[in-house]
Amino acid sequence: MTSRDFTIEELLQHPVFRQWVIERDANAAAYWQEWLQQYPHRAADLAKAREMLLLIGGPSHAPAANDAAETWERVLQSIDNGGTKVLRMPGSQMRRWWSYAAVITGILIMTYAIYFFVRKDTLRYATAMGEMRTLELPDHSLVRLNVNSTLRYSDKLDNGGPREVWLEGEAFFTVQHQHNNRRFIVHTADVDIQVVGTEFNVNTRRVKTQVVLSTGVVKLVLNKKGASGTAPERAPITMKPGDMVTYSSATEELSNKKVDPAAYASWRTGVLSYDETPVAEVIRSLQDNLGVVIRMEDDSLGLQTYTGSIPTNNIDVFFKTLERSFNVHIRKTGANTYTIVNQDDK
Amino acid sequence: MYGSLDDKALWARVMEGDKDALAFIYNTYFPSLYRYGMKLSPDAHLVKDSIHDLFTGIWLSRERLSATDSIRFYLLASLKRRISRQQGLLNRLTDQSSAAMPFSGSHEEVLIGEQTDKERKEKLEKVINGLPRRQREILYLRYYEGLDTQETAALMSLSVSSAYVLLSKALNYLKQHSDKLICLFLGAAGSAILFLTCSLLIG
Repeated sequence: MTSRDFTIEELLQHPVFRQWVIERDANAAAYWQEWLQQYPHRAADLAKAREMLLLIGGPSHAPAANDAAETWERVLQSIDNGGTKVLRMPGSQMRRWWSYAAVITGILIMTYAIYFFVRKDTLRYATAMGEMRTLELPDHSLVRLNVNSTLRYSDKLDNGGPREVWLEGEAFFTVQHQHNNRRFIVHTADVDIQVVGTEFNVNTRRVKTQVVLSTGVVKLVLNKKGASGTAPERAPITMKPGDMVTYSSATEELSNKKVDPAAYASWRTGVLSYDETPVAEVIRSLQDNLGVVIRMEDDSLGLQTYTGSIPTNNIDVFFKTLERSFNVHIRKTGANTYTIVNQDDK
Repeated sequence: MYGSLDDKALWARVMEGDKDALAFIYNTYFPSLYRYGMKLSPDAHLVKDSIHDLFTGIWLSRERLSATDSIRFYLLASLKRRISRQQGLLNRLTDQSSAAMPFSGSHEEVLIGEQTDKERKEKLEKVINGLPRRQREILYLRYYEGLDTQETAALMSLSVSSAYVLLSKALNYLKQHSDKLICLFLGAAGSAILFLTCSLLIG
């Protein structure tokens, strides 16, 4: 077999090839599909290289959903403790007990400190651009906070009444069910999201709140125009898994749609997914999530749709697809600013 | 915005004490590190502990870190060092032969790829297990993790030229054996034309 362009070795070394086979990236898939149209006789080689790469990867262990977050929390703890090792392998039971004791003492001191100094305050967690954080609430519910977002809750969260938190920005909630069916309420400027135990994504950017339900049931209470309180104007909405409800209390605009919840929660893994999304909306989302500013010389591009996933650490994937599909050119105009120009005007 | 920084600049941020930069690196590489770690040792706790130690270590010694232009390489190499150190300790305790552990599967493994039928899975395992451990590892680092040959060689304590030799040996083996597998697969999928092409390739 002779090859005119990529040999099997070259395919295996090609970063986009890896993206296609391993990460199953839609844009990478498109790239190879196009390539095949150019070199149809290489179909067998491409299939073979793909097969080989899967073989090389071998049987693979994917980390459990919360492994990354859990380990990171431990890293943070150890860092704050100035390097005290948190947990060791068997063989040093004594040391393990000492570290437990240290942690418990730490928790006791912290609880005491919190009780004394911030007992009337709300706890507030904020993330900067480029920073994501996982918070464990006192009831063991998990909140994955996306970049540039804030979560507040009262230190009385675990005092018996409903569990209440306030969100600005975007977060994914995994709410722990409690035996007495204690309610959990997420307040945003537009809605109150009432649940018992479930998983859902909330995004409050762009003067509206968008709730996407992954599992369980959610009751949505819409806020009155202009009011930041909880007075409902319409009957509460009951959401089922796969439902996406968007509501703006400013414009009283309400929309309901069936979606793939995974696509709306994919930011948690450092990937943004879009399915037939208008380019203008993709650009807004990149602005929210990556802090980049993208200008379009020709606004009509914004109406085109985009399907695919963009790793948050590699915006070039998106740019390459745009350049390939719409005959445009992306010009970097500053550290975090880009302009999309028509190819002909270049 | 860390996504736009190259490895060198991102690493410099960590050295200057930017904890968010470390978090960004962690989030980017955790899946890769976990995957590679599980290939070195089937013990998920040990792997996670080693990743924990790795990042804690980076942060606490950030002022003494040297610059790097390949964070992926730095992390994989450090993880490997940590895991083998831990494993050395464990092996001395339990006397497990090192050949039985690394780069072999356990019972709970999940096959990457959409063809999960049992027969095919067994065949795949047979092919990859037919390779010596070092060859499996070098293929994995070079092609699956995408390190360059120099980095791969360094990680495996090989000279660059012996890395090339080992790599091409492993690749040839795989090329020959994957031919048979592709045909099996395509045959099963009922694609007659491709199946024919395949037979021609082998014949």
